[in-house]
Amino acid sequence: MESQKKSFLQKCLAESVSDVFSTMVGVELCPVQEKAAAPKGYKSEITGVMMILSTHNALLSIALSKENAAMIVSFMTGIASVELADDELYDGVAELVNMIAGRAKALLAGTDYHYQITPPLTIVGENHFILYKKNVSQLSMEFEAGEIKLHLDLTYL
Amino acid sequence: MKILSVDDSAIIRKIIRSGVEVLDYELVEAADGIEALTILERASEDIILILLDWNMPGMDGLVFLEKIKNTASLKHIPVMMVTTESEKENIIRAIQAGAINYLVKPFTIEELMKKVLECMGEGR
Repeated sequence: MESQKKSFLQKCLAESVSDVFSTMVGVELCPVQEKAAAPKGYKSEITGVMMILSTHNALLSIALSKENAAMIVSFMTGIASVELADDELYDGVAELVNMIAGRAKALLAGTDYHYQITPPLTIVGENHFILYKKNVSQLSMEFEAGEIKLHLDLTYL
Repeated sequence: MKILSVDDSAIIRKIIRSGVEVLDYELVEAADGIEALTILERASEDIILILLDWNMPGMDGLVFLEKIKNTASLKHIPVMMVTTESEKENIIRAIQAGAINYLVKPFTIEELMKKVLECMGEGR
């Protein structure tokens, strides 16, 4: 991915993640580092996924631990994390990626990177990962706020 | 007085419920447009406002909106979009289709309550 495009997309995604978390979760989530593209993806317990439909289709995903998902959904709803059912955590993570993609879509309106979105889905399972073909163009970012850690990938297919 | 939330996310419906109940309205929930139509067929006279997501599997929000605005017995019910679709052209499409208000996700509970009150003619 060319560096100008990468840095523009990184800025939009960081702003989107920050907006969604500060508004819906009440947490200021900040990017901590950029990771090198990893064809054998990041291992997690819950991954929210969204198809990005554009001239160059992509997959936007956010990956996090079940413990972090419980904490985040608890902050979103005001319901104690121990009272949340697994399905509510999966739904919450899907809705987070939906809002991040929607916010980024608005920020990218009028640019060459603008896209359409699909309903989100969630992948669940201990130590699961998404295996991409070799040499895909991928932008990976890590976000953190206290105990909360979130991994985001934008992968061009 | 009942408000109908049509959203495929149970978590978003829970968040909406917490705001709506503070305002002393009862929330009825539907996970998509088809389920919402079934609820409206049974008890449309009880529903005073519909909060409608856009991107849902099955019947999306805009199709649902057009359908109720073309149904004589339902077209009087005000509809507010609650959606991640935030571009101007989409807001215009929804307003042209009959939505009276528009709330973009992410939103705070306070923003939701303010918009609901605006729809009820109490928040202007």
